[in-house]
Amino acid sequence: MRRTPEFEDRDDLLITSYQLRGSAPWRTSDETVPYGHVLLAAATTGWSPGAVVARLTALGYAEIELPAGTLPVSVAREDVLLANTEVRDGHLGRWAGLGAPLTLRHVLQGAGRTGRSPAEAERLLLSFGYQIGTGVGHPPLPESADPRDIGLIRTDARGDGTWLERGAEVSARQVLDVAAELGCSPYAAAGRLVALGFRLPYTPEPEDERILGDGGRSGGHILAVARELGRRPSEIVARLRVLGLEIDAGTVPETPEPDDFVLLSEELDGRWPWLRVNRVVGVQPRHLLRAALATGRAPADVAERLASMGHRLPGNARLPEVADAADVRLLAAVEPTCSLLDNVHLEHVLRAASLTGRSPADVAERLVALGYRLPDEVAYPRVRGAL
Amino acid sequence: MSVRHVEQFYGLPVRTFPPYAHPEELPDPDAVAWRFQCGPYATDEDVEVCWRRFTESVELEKVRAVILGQPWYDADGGGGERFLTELAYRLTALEAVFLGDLEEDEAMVSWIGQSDLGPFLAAFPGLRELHVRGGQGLAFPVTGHEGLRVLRVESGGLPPEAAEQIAAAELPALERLELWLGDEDYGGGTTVAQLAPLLAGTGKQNLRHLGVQNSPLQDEFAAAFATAPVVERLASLSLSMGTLSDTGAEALLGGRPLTHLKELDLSHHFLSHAMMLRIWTQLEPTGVRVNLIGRQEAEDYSDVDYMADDADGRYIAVAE
Repeated sequence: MRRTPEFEDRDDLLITSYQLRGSAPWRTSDETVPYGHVLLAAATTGWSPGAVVARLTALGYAEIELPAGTLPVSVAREDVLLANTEVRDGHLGRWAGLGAPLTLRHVLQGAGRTGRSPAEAERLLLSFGYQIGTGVGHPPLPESADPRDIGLIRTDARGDGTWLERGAEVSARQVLDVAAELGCSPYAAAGRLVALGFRLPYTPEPEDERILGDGGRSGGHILAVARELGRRPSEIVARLRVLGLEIDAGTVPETPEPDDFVLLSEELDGRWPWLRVNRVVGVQPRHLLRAALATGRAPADVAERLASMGHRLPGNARLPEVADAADVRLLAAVEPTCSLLDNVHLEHVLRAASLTGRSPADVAERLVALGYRLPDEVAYPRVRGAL
Repeated sequence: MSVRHVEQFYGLPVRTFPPYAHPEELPDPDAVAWRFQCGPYATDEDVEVCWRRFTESVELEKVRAVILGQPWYDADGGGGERFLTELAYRLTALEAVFLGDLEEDEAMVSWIGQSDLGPFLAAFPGLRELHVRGGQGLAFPVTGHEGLRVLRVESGGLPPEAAEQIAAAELPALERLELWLGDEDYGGGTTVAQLAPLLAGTGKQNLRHLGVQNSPLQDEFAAAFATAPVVERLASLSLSMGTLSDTGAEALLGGRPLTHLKELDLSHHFLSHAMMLRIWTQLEPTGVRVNLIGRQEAEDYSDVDYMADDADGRYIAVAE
């Protein structure tokens, strides 16, 4: 039960109030006073922690949580708040107890909130007399501050969260997931996790940054990185698997042909962004025709080469013998809404006619010739839009 | 149809301010549209802490565009723009704001709360573009805004009073206006009469694009636009996402000439093939680009006991 204290001394009111503000709510003499409260009372009044204990005892507080060793002589408020991880906007939450070692989460949360390095936060808490679950044989915590540390060790956000403890093994997949969540590179996340004392199934290497770029999943990316790093594509694929990616980049040739980079680039310029394998609707016919125009190869030849790298056309596709820019424009108007597997309805034909300046009848005839299905029984008009 | 997080805004790539962001790894303040979103769990970074990190690590004086997501806006209410309003004295370059960039798994569109935008608009005279998603509680100042050029309100149920206020507002610089009116069952139900000032073309002399979208009364709006003076000054008109049928299209084609338009967007509609062909062949050769994508078939409710007898089975694109 809460009650107003019978004493009136300002300092007495201060050190017996929960928020150390000299106002309700008050700590009652039949409850245990947390050690963190003693420390913050000392920091607030300028007394030593020992003097706070003596005064609280004199005021009738019989149960005061204290460490086994000697008390610090003086403490600073910002340092003491490391022991209260739930503090928000100056409002205190629960104090850490002395009965059990503090978790890494506690250390990192306090460090992040106060802008300190994990090592400094750990040293301060130890100097107060708290135990920390550092375990034996782990490397010291990093001396550099990084506000993301607390996010790196969270493995489940629900409830009170699930948090990694030092020495735990972190899966490669988990590194990728947490990096995505925090918006940082997987290489940076992996390096920091190692610095925090976690074990990874691999040793982070500087080249990982480049290897994991662009999501690491496309054949074009793998070929480009292999060329850039002077390694074989199969080595890049192997490293990507070690780093936790399930590669579905199609078949990556060990010795690429010169224009493979062009064929595999979305803009046909041999650079990022790279074509992604789509095992449902396959490669878009427009890309294939553009690639034929860019490389001078026949559409059928391009289709064969792309198929060998995992980019296949649906079975109903019909390729022209020679690529034509007009077909490319037509497909650019159709592909945003219809793949070769979709039915192309009147609405799509009219839209394509609008965007290309061709008549709906012309559009419909050409799409049928390219293998599209047009199920609507409509007399498509011959009139053209004024593009 | 479901709404998604924006990836581009005000011509800028969207950058979600990452949790526990490292200040050294952030882009230039004016190079991106800054998006804010915090997770829903107690262990996620607190919204106040996230915002403070932003205001302490990014030069606010250079920020051009801001997007506020959850929990600045959610089913519990709006008002997240107060975070911006309180810092208006620092956000001196802010030109574009999106209030309520939430996806369906965060809150259904019709649940997203908004509030009276009067104080916010007054605090940012330099604002050029405003997007709002959601409608509950939305109020718009009839006194308007001198500089706003683009206003887009996405809603499954825009309160008719708010639509009425926007229609009546003085927005002399406004060039694009898009209103998703929404269904009466979800708080919408704006009528033609409530948009009368908009149709008459008053208060928005620079308007070039008008979208009166996502309405279950789309046939009535189409008929109204057939005689609406505002059409003359438009370069493009959208009556998309609604329940437009041959009736509305017939009225539209029979009204004022539309041949001065560059675009007519009727996507998500219930038109017959014959009417689609008629619209296309009548307008396209004159230079009007017509969008008829998204033809829908009316649902058959004849066997559904709880549906009203007059339910015609047509539906809008975004409701709940």
